[in-house]
Amino acid sequence: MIASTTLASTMVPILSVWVLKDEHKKQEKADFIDHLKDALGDFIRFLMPMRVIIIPVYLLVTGVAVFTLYETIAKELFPSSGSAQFRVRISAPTGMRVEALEKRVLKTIEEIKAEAGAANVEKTLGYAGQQPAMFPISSAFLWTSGPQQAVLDVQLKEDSHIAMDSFKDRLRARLTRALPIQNFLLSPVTLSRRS
Amino acid sequence: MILLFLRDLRSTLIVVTTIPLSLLASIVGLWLTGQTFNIQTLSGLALSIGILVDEATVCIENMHSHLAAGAKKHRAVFDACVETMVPRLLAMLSVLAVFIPSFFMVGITRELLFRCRWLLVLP
Repeated sequence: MIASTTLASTMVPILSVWVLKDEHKKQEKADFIDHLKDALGDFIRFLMPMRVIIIPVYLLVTGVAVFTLYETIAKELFPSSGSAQFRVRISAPTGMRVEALEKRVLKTIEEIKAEAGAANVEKTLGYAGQQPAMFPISSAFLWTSGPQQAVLDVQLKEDSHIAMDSFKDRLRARLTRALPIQNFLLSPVTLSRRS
Repeated sequence: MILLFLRDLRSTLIVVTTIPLSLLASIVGLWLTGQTFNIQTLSGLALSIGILVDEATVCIENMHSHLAAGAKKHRAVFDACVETMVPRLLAMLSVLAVFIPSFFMVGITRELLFRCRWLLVLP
């Protein structure tokens, strides 16, 4: 919109002076478009004397409509599941030992408790590092790429009433500040959506 | 539509010229903000094509009205642009006002709509 407005005020007049013909084509008889324009003109001329009434009525109707619709309409584009659970995938630089990763996972839990309030975190469940080959685990539910990656499931208290979307934004910023070289991927954890 | 209503090939040409130039401006905007071509940015561009020509169309139509009223070409172009400047600005602000709520979005919705929004505003 910004570029097209600028172009309409700058390039279009210049091109018009260059390209448009000097004399305008005279139209012999009025066509459908002219009738349409005349009808619109007549309608506006009819409305203009009543503008003192029309404008306040319009403002009142739109104001009431906006207020009522705002109160009743759903405000979520992607409705959340209402779940107070989420998963944090922590990716440290490749090659980090699992002992060093473990410290960072514990630090992550501390940061989550600090952001949500320690009393609002019901439980956390995590796995740091790679699963042993003989460990009976389904990769669909728990997968890490190596000793540098950890997965942490967090359950907040149901009655904590934390707005999850904004909480995740705040948590993501907080974790990035606290542990700058790690990547954090926050995702919902429900039965149908696993990552 | 301009060809249909104004029956003037030259005016149509002028309006059509603004489309690639506006898109080029948005691509420069993409480059400056470090964005790439992806499904979101391309959706934004595709949505913006329709509203790109509005401003130029209003301007050209008013020029034709002035020319039809007997004004000289230079005068008609100048008067048409001055007359439509404020309405065009207000029309642009009205379109952009739609995106005000997107500044208050959070989470995944914000991430999804962020690029799309700028790709509608920039061109």
